[in-house]
Amino acid sequence: MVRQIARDGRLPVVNFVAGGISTPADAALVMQLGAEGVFVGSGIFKSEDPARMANAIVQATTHFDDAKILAEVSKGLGAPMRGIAMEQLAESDRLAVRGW
Amino acid sequence: MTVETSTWATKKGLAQMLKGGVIMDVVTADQAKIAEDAGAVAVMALERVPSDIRAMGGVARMSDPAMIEAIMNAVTIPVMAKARIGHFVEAQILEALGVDYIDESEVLTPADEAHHIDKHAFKVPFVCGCRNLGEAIRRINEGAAMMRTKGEAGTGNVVEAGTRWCGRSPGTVAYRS
Repeated sequence: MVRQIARDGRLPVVNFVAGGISTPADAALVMQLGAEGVFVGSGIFKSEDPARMANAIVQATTHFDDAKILAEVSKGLGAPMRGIAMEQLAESDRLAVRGW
Repeated sequence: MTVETSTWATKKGLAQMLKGGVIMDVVTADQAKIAEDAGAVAVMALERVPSDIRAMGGVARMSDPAMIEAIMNAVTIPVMAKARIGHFVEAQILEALGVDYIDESEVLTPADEAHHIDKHAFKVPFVCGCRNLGEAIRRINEGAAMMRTKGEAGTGNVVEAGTRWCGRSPGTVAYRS
């Protein structure tokens, strides 16, 4: 499997990005960086207008390399979720380090 | 081809159908409907979104099966649910419920400090988190049909998922060097 991954430059399974996506721009960012899709956890139903945010993030994931569409869907979405800066998060409160 | 590999091939093929889409965390049937209407390719049914799990503290476990069923009944898109790392009985319960995918998730409190679930033993496909190529390969070797790079869940902060991560994600050539 390692040989196959080295040859293909990709995993043999579909690879999404999760954790921290809270705006259409965030979704488009990780898609441009090579994600094959996104998981949005708290980002939708912790935002001010979940239905619009959900739709906007779907549009942004589909049209991730079209900044005009990204601008359009990013308009008037209301407040995204509040968010936490990484430096405010104690090492013991970090979830991503779980698993090995 | 052995039975095991053909099953894994089927499961990873299933996961390919989600490609390019958005999977949304939902805690009620109403939220699941909103997600489906917005064009989500799947929903993740759970009792609390990660930011609330964070706020709540304590041990986070598999969600109430009744709540997962209510969400499965509300939408036609695939429904995923989370089991704790290493908790193969939670995974057995989720499979018995008929969820479409199981997420062996670090967002819940790990149930085993040494082992992840043997995912080859299940018919249902698993998605697992990873922070690097080594973790991804270990999970796939255990039978994961889909990966997700782990940003820091429940923070709303893309720095972990995006800049630190995806630029070097297993999907890019950077790992080859």
